[in-house]
Formats: sequence, structure tokens, C-alpha cells
Amino acid sequence: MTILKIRGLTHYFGGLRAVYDFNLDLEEGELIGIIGPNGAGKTTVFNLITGVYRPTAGEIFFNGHNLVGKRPEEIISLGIARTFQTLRLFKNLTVLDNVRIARFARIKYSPVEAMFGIGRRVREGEREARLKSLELLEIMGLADKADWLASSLPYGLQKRLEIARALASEPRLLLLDEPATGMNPAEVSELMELIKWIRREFGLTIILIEHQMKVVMGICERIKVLDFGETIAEGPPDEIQNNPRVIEAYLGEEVIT
Amino acid sequence: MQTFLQQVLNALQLGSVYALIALGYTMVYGIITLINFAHGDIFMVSTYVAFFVGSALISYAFKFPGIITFLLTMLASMFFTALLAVTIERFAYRPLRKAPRVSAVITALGVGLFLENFTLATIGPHPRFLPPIIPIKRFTIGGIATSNVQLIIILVSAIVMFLLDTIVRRTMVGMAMRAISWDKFTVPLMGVPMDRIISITFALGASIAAVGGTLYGMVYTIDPYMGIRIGWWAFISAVVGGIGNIRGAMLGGYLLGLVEIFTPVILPSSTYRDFVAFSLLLLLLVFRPYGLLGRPITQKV
Amino acid sequence: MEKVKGLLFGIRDWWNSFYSSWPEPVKRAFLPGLIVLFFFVAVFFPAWGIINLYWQQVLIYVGINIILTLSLNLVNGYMGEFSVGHAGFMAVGAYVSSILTVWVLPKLGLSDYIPYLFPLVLIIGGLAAGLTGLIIAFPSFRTRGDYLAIVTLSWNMIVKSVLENIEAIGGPRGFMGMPKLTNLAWVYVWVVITIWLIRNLVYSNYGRGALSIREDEIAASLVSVDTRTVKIVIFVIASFFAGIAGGLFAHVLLFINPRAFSILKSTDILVMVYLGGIGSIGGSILGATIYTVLLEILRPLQVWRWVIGPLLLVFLMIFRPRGIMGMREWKFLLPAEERPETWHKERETIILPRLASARSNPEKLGGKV
Repeated sequence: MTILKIRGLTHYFGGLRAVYDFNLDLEEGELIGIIGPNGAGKTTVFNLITGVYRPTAGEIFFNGHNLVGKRPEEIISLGIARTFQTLRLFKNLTVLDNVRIARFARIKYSPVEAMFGIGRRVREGEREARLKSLELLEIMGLADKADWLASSLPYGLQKRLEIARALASEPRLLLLDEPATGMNPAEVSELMELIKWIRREFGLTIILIEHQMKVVMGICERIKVLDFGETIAEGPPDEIQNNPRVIEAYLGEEVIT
Repeated sequence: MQTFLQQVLNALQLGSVYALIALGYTMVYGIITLINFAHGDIFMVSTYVAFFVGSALISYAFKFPGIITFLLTMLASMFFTALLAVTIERFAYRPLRKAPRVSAVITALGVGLFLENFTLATIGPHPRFLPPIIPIKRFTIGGIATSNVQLIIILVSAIVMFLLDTIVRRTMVGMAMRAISWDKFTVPLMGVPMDRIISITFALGASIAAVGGTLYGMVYTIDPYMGIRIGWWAFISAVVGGIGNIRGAMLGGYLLGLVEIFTPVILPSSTYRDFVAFSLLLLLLVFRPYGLLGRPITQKV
Repeated sequence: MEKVKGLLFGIRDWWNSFYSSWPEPVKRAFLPGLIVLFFFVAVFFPAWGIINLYWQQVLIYVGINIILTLSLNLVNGYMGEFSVGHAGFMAVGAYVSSILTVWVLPKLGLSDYIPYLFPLVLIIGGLAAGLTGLIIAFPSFRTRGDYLAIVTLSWNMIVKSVLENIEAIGGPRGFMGMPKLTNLAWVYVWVVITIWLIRNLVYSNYGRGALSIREDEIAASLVSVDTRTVKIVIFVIASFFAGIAGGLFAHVLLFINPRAFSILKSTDILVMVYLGGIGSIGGSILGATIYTVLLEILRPLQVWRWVIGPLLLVFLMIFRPRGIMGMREWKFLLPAEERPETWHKERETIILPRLASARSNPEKLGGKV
């Protein structure tokens, strides 16, 4: 089943063309990658899908819902989640709170009920949010640090926390933006296992932006290559690796294989 | 028709002062993205400096001709006000350059209130008149009643604004100011002395406000809380014109002068002026926050 | 100075370990016990003459300021916004409640019942203030930071200007004739209610939503937080409580005029919030108490009092912008479900067994890094 359908996605920032005619048919359960030199427009595509920007032109359909013009929180509630190139955790909040907040849309009591604190919906709503979040933290190996401040975690765990937060909203589609940044080779291997595992465990469809070729070639089934906003190649990893246009686009860039 | 033109002159007179003060707000915002809420009170202090210096000069045995007294008073006011502004920047704003925005905004509010109440406590609340530095001579041109002081205000303001525009556009300092307002991070790396340029900006904004202060004091009364009234109107001028935009501040100033003079003509009572001005500000902020001549700023995600 | 700090920290650490050593039932009883204790103090000490009239007045102002500080802390501390015109909402509550007790209720022939209707009067004043809070909430969708500061300040000015122009309620000369309904007991009751309601709100979904907006608004919207709803909720509730405080204020001072609700008043509230600590209920209580008492002690200085406030604010911003208890909280104010001990217990008793009996092996990832 096609979970994400993008047609002719184009976006200009003033006079600067960031993305041009981006197309995608994503089947449920796929794990694909988007690569390209810096500034190629990869994160912009994520921003357009999640509603941070409204595309200048093009269509985006997720499970039949038209995403164009929707606010980010609406899009997230439909079942998409993402992580960020530079971590955007809630630094002064606890690990548990970071994850719990992602369940905002699933909690169903009113402000007045919240203030009085009593009533079944509040108690049960809070309990469910708390237990589901603790469970997720447990699975991700962070539960013993639930009361730690997010800023006090070491970098690797912070990255994992951001993934946990993304999973907390129970998405169907997960957008990972350069999850391997700042990791050493051992950590990268672990990350690859983690991504494959959560895809299986949670039945996710995943789009991955990444610079580290080991990750992309290692786990992606299909890769799209962007340069200056345009798609210059698309296909399975071995095809992309040997594609002359791709190699040319990366000339001068450090390619980690 | 004649009364109309008369009122236009009055509006220009008031608007000139608003424009001069608005420039201070806009320059500081342009360079460190801070709304210097204390600027209106710095203006107030400048009027008191003009008051004391002017009174002292007039009481000297050898009397200078009016123009000389006026220039000396204005220069003295400019000097001391600039000193005050640079001191405030150095000790209250500079430590907060890396701090979250809320700290700087609230500090600015605090500094302003401090200046008001300090003046109130030391000098007293009663409004004062500046001594007649230039004796007021009223006359009519083509049936329109005006005075020498009114024309001086409008003229001097225009000259000062022109000078500022030239400084900003034609000198190295001006270029540095504009560069910093576009990119705060790279410019210091190019060898531009950020701190010094920022101090100069504050000094410039304050001395221009002091020009406005001296001019204002020659016609109206001064009191410690005038910073709130005048300062806020000038601030609204800066926002209307587009905060950070120097020509916008000038335009905004004259516009607000027109609003102040002509509102009582349209609405029943002059006490509605505040309401009109602030409602204008509110509406503008909601629908066009970057003002008439400003540009929207986008944020990178 | 260092010795004083060391002493204060020492007291805090002693208290924390002392409190942690209590058995659970004692912990749970502590807060209710405190509330009841202070209730007796508030109700009976004045009657028995232990607290004289002057100190009663001071304590009443402390209470009103606690409510004000808590309400502003919601917006500026927990949600990280820039509301600097809070006195405007207080004014609405003050005037609306006064109009009710001076005109409306007597006209309805209910003069005798006014003391019993006081809570209702306050609530109506609060609701009116809450409604005006909406006016600030909507601009906050599109503007942040400095611009929102200007919006809120302008609103403060507009409210003041409108009140000055309505002759019917006295214009600039003010409004009076309110019965003296506020006493220490009522103030105490409202302080407790405010603390309780705000505490619950802060540890609920909406409180967390507000915190996420403070930390990173865009990221918040990208994890499903409906920032617009949260902003409306927080602004309206904050204005509501400011209105309550305004009503209490009007009925103890018995005279209100627009100048009482100017930027100077808003700055006072700001000082109390930032002094006590942003994002902290205990901090708000401390900040309000210390500042109110300090100003009382400085009363002989007359007009110089108003120089101290802003100066203090500037020093705070430069040297300790988070305040005394910034983002930290007194342990006994936490709901039981928010204590880390509860989380650890739930982990052991509920989560681990559930996972063990479920599908994949959790230990696969548990021990890494």
C-alpha cells in the first residue's frame, strides 16, 4: 500500500530554489534513503512534508490525506514523526517528559479537568501517557534515567532519546534526519541495528537522510540522490554507488564508506 | 485652509521630535535586535540636561546671542545623554548579549523605570519650562501663524536627519553599523570592532534624541514621566515605519505627528489619542509587524 | 556573602534529605497538614489579636501578590513568553468586581448578600479578565519575543487609556465605594485554591505543552503539541487569576484608579516572578513574599522605594536571571505520580513484567552504551 505519495514538490525561498520537482511513491514498510551534498534540499523536503513550510508547488498525500496547508501538529497527529539534524530535545525537561510530550495529541482531557486534577479522564489519561512513555524508554534502554534532565545525557543517549520521542506519538512514517551525526563507527553499527529493529518492532516506514554512506548503503532498500534541489538519481544502493552523476555531485566531499 | 496648514506645521513640529527619538529606537534595534525601552527615558533625561545647562548659560553675566546659547545647550545635552546611553549599554545590556531575549527586554524596562523614578526622586515631579534660550517670536506667513522656534525645530530636525542618513550611508562607521545589523556573527570575524560600533550606535541614537529633547523643551513642559508618553509615541513611530529601518523611523515620526494633531479633530476628545496610537500599534503588529518600510525575517529550521 | 549562600544551601540540603527520609503516608500528609495549619493561622490569629491590623494588611498584600506572581509565571516562566503588561488583566478584574459590588448587586436588591456572594463576584471578575486574555493569545500565535512584549505592553496602555476615558467609572479620578470584603482568611483561601489549580495544570498535559513551547516551539509542534490551544489555555487562565487578584485588591484598598495598573505595577509583578524563579510555584511564593515584605520595610524611603524595584530587576536579569528557584520545585508540591520514586516503582512492578511477557527481548538494547 502506498503510504506516501509526493508529486512535483517544489519550493522556493524568495528567489532561491531549494527543491525542484521532487517525486516519491513510498510503500508501507519500506526503508529508503535520501542523500546528496550539503544544501541539496534534503532537510527542506522533510520540512515540507511535516508542514514547517508550505510548498510553493506540488502535492503530498499521506494515507490519502492531503498534507499541503496543514499545520505541523495536524500532520504529526496523522502518523508522521521526525528527528532533527541538530538535536532539538527539550533540554530543561526530564527524559520522561521529553517522551511524554509527544503523546500530547493522544491525551483527551480539557484544561478545566486538568486544573481540578480529579476525574477519571485525567487520572487515566495521565497514567496511560506515563506508562506508555516509560515502556518506550525501557525498550530504548533509557528508563533508568527517566528523571534525568535531557541536557545531562551523553550525546549518544540524547540521539536515542530523540528517536524515542519520535516513536512516542505512535507514527506510521518516521523521518530520520542524519541520525548518525557525531557517532563513531561502533555507534554507527549499533544505530543501524536499532533502525532495522524499530522498523520491525513498530511496523514503521522510514525515510532516512544521511551523509554516512555505511548507513545508507547498509540498510536502505532504495536511495534518492538530490543535488541543488533536483533528483539526479534514484535506485538500489549498488546502482547509486556506481552512478557517475552521483559521484560527480560528491566530488570534493568526503565520502565515508 | 489656513488653519489646516497651521495644523500641518504643528504636526511637523511634533513629528520631527518623534522622528528624532524614533531613530534611536530603530538604530539600536537594527544593531543588537533589542528594543531599548529605556530610550524614551533617555530622551527625558536629555531635556533635563538641557534645562539645567540652558538655565546656567542664561544666568551668566555676559549674554550670548540666542543661537549660541541654543547650540551650546544642545551640544551639552547631546554629550551628556550620549555618555549616559553608552554607560547603560556597557553595564546593563552588554552582559546580556548572549542571554535569552527576555532578560534583555526586561532589563531595558527596568532601566527605563529606574531613570524615571530616580529623576522623580532627585528633582521632583513638577513640570518645568526650559528658560527662553531663543526668545519666541511669533509671526504669520501668508496668513499661517507660526513662530521662529517652530521653524527652527522643523529645520534643525531635518538637517540632523539628513546628516544621520549621510553618516549611515557614506561613512565607514555607518557601513559597519549596517553590516552588523545584517549579520552579527561574521562581521566581527572581519576585524570590525563590534563593541565599539555598538557603543557608537548608542551614542549616536542618544545624541539625536538629545537634539529632539532640546528642541522639545523649548516649546513644551518637561516632567519625569514624559519619557513614557513621548517615548512610546516615538517607539510606535519606529515600529510603524519598520523597526530597524532608519528612513522608516523618520517617516513614522511624521506620521505619528499627524495622528496626534489630527485625532482630536476627528474624535470627540483629546484623551482618545493614546487609545488611537496604541490600537494602531496593536493592529500593525498583528497584521504587518515589520512596518511600512520593513521586511519580514524568516527563520531557518 | 559566600557564608550566607553556604548556609542557605546547607539548610536546603538538610531539608531535602529530611523530607526524603519520611515514610510515604507522612509525605502525603505534609502538604494538606500545612494547608490546614496556615488556615487556622489565617482565620484565628487576626481574631485573637495575635497579628495586628498592619501586619494583616501586609499579609493580605503578600497573598494577592502570590496569586499575581503565580499567574504571570504561567505565561513567562512555564511557557517562556514575553508578557510584560500583566497589570492590565488585574485592572479588568478589579473594575468588573467593583462594578458588581457597588452598582449591580445593590440594583438587584442583593446588598445584604454581598459578603456571601464575594467568591462569585471575584470569579466573574476573573472570567472577564480571562476573556481579555484571549486578546493577547491570538497575536501570540504569530509574534514572539520582543514583538509580543510590545503587544502586551500596548494592551496594558490601552486598558489604562480606556479606563481613563470612561467617565461613568470615574475616569482618571478613580472608582470607590467598594465594601471591605477582603480579609486574611479569604485571601488565604484564594491563595490555596490558586496554588492547587495551577499546580495541577502545570503537571498536566497543558503544563507540559507550555514547557515544550518554552523549550522549542517548532519542535513542540513537530511532536504533535497543538501550540495554539496551549497558548490560549495558558493566557486565559493566567489572566483569570490576575483578575481574581485584582478583585481582592479592589476590595481591600477600597479605591482603584487606572494609574494603579500601569507599567509600574506590571514591572512589580515581573520582579516577583524573576526574583522567585521562573517555572516554579515555590519560587513564585518566595518571590512575592520577599518582594512585598521588602517594599514594606523600605516604606520610610518613600519615593525611593520605586527606584529600588527596577534596579533590583536589572540586577536580577544580569546576575541571576533564573531567580531563586528557577525551574526547580519543592518536593512536597509534586503530585504523587510525578515523583521519580513512583516512576521507578512502576517500572519494576508494571513495565518490566509486561515487556517480559510480550514479544521481543528488551535486553537486546538495554545494556548498550
